[in-house]
Amino acid sequence: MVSRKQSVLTASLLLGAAYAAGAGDNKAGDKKASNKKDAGVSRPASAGRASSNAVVVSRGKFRSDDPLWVEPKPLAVRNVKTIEIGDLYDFVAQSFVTPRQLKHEKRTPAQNVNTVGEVPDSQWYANRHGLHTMTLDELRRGAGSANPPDPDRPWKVISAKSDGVMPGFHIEDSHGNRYLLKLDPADYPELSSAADVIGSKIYYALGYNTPENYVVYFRRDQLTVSEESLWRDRMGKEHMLSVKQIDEWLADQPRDSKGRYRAMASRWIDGKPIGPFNMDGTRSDDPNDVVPHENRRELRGMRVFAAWLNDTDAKSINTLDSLVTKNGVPFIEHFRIDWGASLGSDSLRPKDIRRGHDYIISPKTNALQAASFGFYLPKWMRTHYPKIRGTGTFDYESFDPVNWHSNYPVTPFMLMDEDDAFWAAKKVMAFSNDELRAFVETGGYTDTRAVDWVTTASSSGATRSARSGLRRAWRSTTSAWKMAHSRSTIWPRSTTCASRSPIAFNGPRSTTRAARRPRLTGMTGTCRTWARPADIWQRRSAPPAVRRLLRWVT
Amino acid sequence: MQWNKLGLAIAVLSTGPVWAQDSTRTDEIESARAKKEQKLSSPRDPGLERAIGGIQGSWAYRFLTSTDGLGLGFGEMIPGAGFSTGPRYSKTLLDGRLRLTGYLRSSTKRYYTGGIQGSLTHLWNGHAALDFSADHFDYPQMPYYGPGSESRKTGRSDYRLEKTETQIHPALRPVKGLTLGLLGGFQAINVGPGTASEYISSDHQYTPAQAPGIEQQTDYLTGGGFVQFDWRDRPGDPTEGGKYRAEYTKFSDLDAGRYSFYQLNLDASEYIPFFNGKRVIALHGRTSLSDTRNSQQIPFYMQPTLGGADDLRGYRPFRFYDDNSVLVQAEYRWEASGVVELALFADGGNVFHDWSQWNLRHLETDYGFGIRFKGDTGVHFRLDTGFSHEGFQIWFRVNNPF
Repeated sequence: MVSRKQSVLTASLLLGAAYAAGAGDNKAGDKKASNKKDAGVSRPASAGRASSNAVVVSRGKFRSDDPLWVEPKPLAVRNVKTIEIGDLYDFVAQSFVTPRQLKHEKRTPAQNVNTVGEVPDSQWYANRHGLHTMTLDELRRGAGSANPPDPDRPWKVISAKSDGVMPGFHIEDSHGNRYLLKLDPADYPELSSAADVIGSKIYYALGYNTPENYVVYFRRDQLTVSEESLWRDRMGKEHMLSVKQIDEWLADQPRDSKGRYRAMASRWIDGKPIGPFNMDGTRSDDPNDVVPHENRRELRGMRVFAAWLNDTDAKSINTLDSLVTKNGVPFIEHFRIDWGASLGSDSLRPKDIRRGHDYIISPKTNALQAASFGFYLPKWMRTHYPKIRGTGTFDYESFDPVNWHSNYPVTPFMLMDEDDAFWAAKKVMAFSNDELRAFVETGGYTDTRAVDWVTTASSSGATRSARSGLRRAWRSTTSAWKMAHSRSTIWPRSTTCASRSPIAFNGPRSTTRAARRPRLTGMTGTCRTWARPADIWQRRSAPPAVRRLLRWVT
Repeated sequence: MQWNKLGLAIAVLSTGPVWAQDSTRTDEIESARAKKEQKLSSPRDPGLERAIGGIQGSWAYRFLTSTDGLGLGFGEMIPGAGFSTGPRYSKTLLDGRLRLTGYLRSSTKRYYTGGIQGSLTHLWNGHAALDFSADHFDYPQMPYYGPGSESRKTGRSDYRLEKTETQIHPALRPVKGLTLGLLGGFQAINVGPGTASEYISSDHQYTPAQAPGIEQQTDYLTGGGFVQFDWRDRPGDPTEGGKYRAEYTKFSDLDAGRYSFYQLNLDASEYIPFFNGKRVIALHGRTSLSDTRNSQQIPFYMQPTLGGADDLRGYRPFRFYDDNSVLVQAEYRWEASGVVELALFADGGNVFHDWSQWNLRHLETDYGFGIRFKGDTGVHFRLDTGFSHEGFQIWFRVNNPF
């Protein structure tokens, strides 16, 4: 793991430079943004399509309330519509439509960041462990730990669904609290319930809104069925729910020594659920939603977190908007839900080891695999995955955060830039091994080897994620540093250069280093010749400690 | 830390003087929100989503894809029948424990089939099941090349095979993977001249001595049992484990009194994974051994056959007929993606008249390659191309060969 001292030092250095460069105007970006209409929830071209109302929290000169840490109180929301996003649509749009659009559009930096590159608290996000150290108890508590379903009283099954493999129930406990009760796949006990709970705790500590998730044990006689309860089969057809049906669903489930079944109980989120949020555009019926989602740093940076936890199913459908009322003001809160497909779990089975390394549709890799007659063997194929109860196929040997892939493209992930990666890397670096172990223990693994393994793997993954984030940030920040330095001392005040933003590096950006280089060269050709990063450090005679740190980082 | 401070100092200085602003950042955000509040609108689904939703919600889509209710079915006919499709109706009863399916199929070569199938599962806490079916099919161009492995490709003839059969299979599953079951049924069979204009009818080409039963058909009462052990990880697309089955059936001639026989079918599949199951060696062996008593004969249309999409893939469908058969297959399968798998395969097999001729030395062989498109539950369809000394065959099927 990265020590806090290292992280603070690195963060300070990089932040200072990023801040200095970020204080200018991004006129190009503004112009682009102003030409775009509010996207609503529709999915127009994604990158650079800032809403006309879009707020760039850090853009422009200093304001008296900079850096802004908390967004203003939300306006009241009325007449919101429940949104549904189809699985197939999301897959098709994100896999085939959005990437093509992104190719031709100008990219913009994240917009909801303050002048020190952080994300202000809002209905989307709250600064937690990265900014204020949470205690181990707080980390274990996550979104809440005081309201698990009452283990000694009956649970009334309100409804159920079964996709033919793993049923789920909606239950109400004796206190009137409602939960979604999800069973583990019968052949893989503890697999998805542990992943779901651990994921929720970590994401909460990272700052996201999450539901309260619990690992629970229950006896068969605790489940009662009301006469009007229905269950829905995988075709969506509803049937009357009977005791016999529940018995059948539980028939293959393993039981502990006390005869209890294990499940994950996710407490219903407060407020009225109004469907998932889109990963790009804004909600046209929410006045508080003024930053296009693809330009939200917490959604872009989520790529680092998702990679770290192998949360391959991070997508719109695993989010939820809820209409809540606080102090008499109704507004929308945005939640991340469902981590059943994180760590080594894929909800219904251990995760296919390909997941996280390739998109489902990945033509180049697929062609290579096909043409090589199977002799092309990437590292993840050669890695040993220990068979420990509940851990599935979670490993760290093959983990490559830079080349990590969700199941299919997600717009904010595709738009993540160096600054977003750096922001996320800092958050990951903030966790110590003890804190990671505390998270893993909330998964309720019965085999201590599982706790050790998942802790080790997540710890190693955290280090790699942080390194990759810092590596990306380093490339960007050295440029920023140079620009800042040059502007204060030797920046030539020619018309050409003066009209260009000092944060032009935040302009059009390609994902490959080779593709980025010509753009920087273009600037140097116009304004001045930039030295290579190594030259800068030689010139500035960086102290040995910093050099060592940089060597380690890069 | 000095460098840290210096960096910050440079950063701050480089931004120039910090001017007090008239508006705050909060004002700016509130202004943007207020502006948006003036033009709120109800969210609209994107065009693509509306289009996909429209397709998925359409009657035609449901008809094509539904597995419950009325729908359209494809395939599930014998190799060589051509493209086949037809209506299918499925209904789940008894809280999901009984599933009934009725179907009709017609192919481009005018093969017809139809029937009702039922499956009663989850009996006795999931330890018992009962399958039953009543089917009728009419295959007007069944190929017949003569008996034995010495038959010639040029000896192709065809005949019509009509069969009406009912079957019932009660089964017990005492432990996971192990199934013990009984087989019972009735078959009414009619054989006649084939309808293919390019081939001679089998009754003109082969004598009753060469093709027993060609001049007289009979009905059968069947009974037997089977034992099966299945420990494959995913039955629809296995990468690990195996499946072993032994089945013994008595076919009792009800009419002619000279075509009764016994048949033992042994079938074994083994899947050897490597590189975390992304590469698999799949092995399959099958033998059908028939026995007759008291000078009884096995009608040619009841004999085991080889050649087709699932066995000797480099040969035409039903290329070899005889009383007994043996088949060995091996495939090397490698995943190109999560949904595409490729395979290199080799098949060897033979038919023979007497048990004593059983051997693995003189096999008809073929080899080839295939591509399979998979989903979560298994192979959706595959395209295999097999090569043999008789030419090549291309197979489009909706299952794994084994």
